[in-house]
Amino acid sequence: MRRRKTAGDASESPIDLTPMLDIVFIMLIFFIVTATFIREPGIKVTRPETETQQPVKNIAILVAVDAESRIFIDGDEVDPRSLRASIDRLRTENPKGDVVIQADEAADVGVTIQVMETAKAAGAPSVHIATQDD
Amino acid sequence: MSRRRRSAGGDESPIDLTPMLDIVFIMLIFFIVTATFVREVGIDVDGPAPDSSDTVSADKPILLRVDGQDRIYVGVAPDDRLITVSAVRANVERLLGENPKSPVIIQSDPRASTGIAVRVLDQVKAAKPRGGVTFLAARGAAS
Repeated sequence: MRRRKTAGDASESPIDLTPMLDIVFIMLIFFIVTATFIREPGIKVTRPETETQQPVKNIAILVAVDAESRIFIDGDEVDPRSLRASIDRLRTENPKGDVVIQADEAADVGVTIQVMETAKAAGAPSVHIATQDD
Repeated sequence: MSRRRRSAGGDESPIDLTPMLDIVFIMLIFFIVTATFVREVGIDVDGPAPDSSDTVSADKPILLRVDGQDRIYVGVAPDDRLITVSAVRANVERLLGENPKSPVIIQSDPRASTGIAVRVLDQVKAAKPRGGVTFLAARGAAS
């Protein structure tokens, strides 16, 4: 029994690592390419409770409206007048995803609907209002 | 200059690939781990295409109004009736029974709370109106 391997070889393994490296690179590139970075509003809201809710499949943009009807995108408060600009900016990053409005139960529905209509006007494929997940 | 390396590259590269493999694995694990799937459940608010909002539609719409104090009215004033959230579905189903293709319009006062308006929308959707649902905000005449 001839042994070509030395017992304690540390740096150079005689096993050819190239195929594994190939696979790992391909996986890495896959994850890098499919990673869409969704900017979360970063505030906690009490979502309304509903019965006909469905999971939203293709989320791209999250806008939050808190109990005082302030609008939050990407952690910052957004003035209603610059809402359209903010949504347009987010849509250039993720053009094909839906908009989800995380509106607090106590928020004024006028503001929620304003966000909804702005999102639709900005060309979002579909707009949803987030509800309690039971 | 004694060269111990063979110049022809065969299957075994003389360059040690271990550090690169380390970095690549770490990057891969980073991406796999930070791929948190943002999960939201919600209700869809974009109704049918805007061409259904033309008033030449022969079906008389079912009108639900939410006022600034979160009171819900069904019907057109002066025939409107005050109802509770839990009665919305039954009312809409009854009105849809009379005319299944009526579109439902939920008109909320901008000062109404989102929670009530969304629950009304939810109940209306549970009644599955074939004419679609329109969710809008407008200052009503009476509040």
